[in-house]
Amino acid sequence: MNHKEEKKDMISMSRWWGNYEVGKNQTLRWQIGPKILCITRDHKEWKVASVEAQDPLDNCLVVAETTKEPDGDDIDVWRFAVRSESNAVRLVPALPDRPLIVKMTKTFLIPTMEEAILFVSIPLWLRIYVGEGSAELMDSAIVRPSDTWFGPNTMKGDLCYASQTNARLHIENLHLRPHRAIASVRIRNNSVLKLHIDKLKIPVNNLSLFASEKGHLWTEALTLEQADDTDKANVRLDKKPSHTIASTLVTQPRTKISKGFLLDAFGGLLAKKKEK
Amino acid sequence: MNEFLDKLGFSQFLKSELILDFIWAALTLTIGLILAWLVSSGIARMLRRRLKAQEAMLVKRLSYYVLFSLVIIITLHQLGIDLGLLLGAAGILSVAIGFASQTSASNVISGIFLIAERPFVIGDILDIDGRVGEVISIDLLSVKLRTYDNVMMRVPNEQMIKTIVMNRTRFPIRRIDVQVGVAYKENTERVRNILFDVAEQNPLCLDEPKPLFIYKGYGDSALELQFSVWAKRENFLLVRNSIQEEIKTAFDKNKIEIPFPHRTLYTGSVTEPFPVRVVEGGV
Repeated sequence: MNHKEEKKDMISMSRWWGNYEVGKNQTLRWQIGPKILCITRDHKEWKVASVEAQDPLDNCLVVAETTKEPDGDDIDVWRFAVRSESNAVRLVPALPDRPLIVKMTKTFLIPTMEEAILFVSIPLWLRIYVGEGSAELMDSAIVRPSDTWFGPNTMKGDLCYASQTNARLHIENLHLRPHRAIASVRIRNNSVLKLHIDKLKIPVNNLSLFASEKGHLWTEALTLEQADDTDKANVRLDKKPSHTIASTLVTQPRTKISKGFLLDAFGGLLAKKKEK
Repeated sequence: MNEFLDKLGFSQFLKSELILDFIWAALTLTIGLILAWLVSSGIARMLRRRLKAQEAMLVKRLSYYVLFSLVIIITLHQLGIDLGLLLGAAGILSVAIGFASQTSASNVISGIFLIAERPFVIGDILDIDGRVGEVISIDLLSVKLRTYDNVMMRVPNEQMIKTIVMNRTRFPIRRIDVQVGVAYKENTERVRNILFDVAEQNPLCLDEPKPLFIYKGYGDSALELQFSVWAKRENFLLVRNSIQEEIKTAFDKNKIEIPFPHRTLYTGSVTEPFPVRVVEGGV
């Protein structure tokens, strides 16, 4: 399947991010996948209530629906005091604050001087800003992924997030969800050895988010080049996603990476040695 | 007035070399101490990026004391005091002081080793002979810790060198061992799957390193198992509590029995059933 066909097959999705207005003593409700979010505005006060939907695989999308202020013991409510009486609220999607470890369905090998493109579903974070000054109320995971460790042993390594979904070689196998973004990762093996991949570290905290014309969130295209003389991969970021016709920048990266950034992308506790 | 001063011999004193030596000595001492302070502070500032705060402070103090001693020696020399004699006296004195302060000296030397070896830093959680606390300062004589019940604990450096010290915060991840006992009738494969599901559902349990399921043995009343999960150091306590609660909930939901100790009474080869009498309204 070529890229044009992939684009055609993707179903359009409503956008849940952007600017909204909340009247005084009014509550707006969003449901982004399994996360239900209610935002209430009082006198110089904002209340953010969050509830998990019963089905964790819920793909439901509800945008700025007027509702009653939620009440109950199972609801987490955060109260924020602000100076202004502004009614503006802004919802912004963001990428995780740590790298993401993605498992392969099955270990696969990339022969010498070959390359593969993988599609990865990335859990999203949600930022809420209010007022003209855009005061940040929250920056938290829509669905919190599990923690995981990525390193050669339990003493050295990085704390990352574990992806609950596997990487896919074909985009149509990827489930499109409102609370997840898509990243295309090109892996190029420039070494003289075969490259075993059973999991992959993606520096999502260094990536930007783009919205496609169909309302999907994409990261810029990422290339990991395995060089001959090192265990690390050279990371190269494109300026835009590779599988969208037109895309607009939604969120800047949490931390920017410099050119020639090297990443231990294929390592980990169970990393297999490369073979000829 | 001058005549009066002459009579007292003050003018002669003022003209004498002794006053000049005094002035020079005072100047040397003042300038020397200021320079010693400036140089030691400069050294500490230069090393602040390379060394930790505690080590930079130690280097500053040591360099200051070395320079201070030099300034004192030069000042005494300026005053014409025989340093050989003074050093001889100081030698005898230092032997006497040395005998009296063996423990302190040992603690100071141990402190220097501790700072150089760096087995822990300020803020680390240490377990010293079963006593747990957070390091609040590493000084020349002792290490001070704050225990979890907010008590200050002072451990002499000499003891820190001799005893086994466990640093609970050295590495970024930690393992939590949960001891689980299940009834002999239970299917261990099923128990194993339930435990792994519990770990998978808890986002604070690390996906990797994978949880461990260990058969510990056949206990008196239960199959003894150990389920170990890994967590970020900061989440250790949170996961230790939550995982036990989640295991209990999962076992209750799946009707897995956690047995209490059983005792079977046997009174010999011809044991008859124990007579049981039900008394109405009995206590």
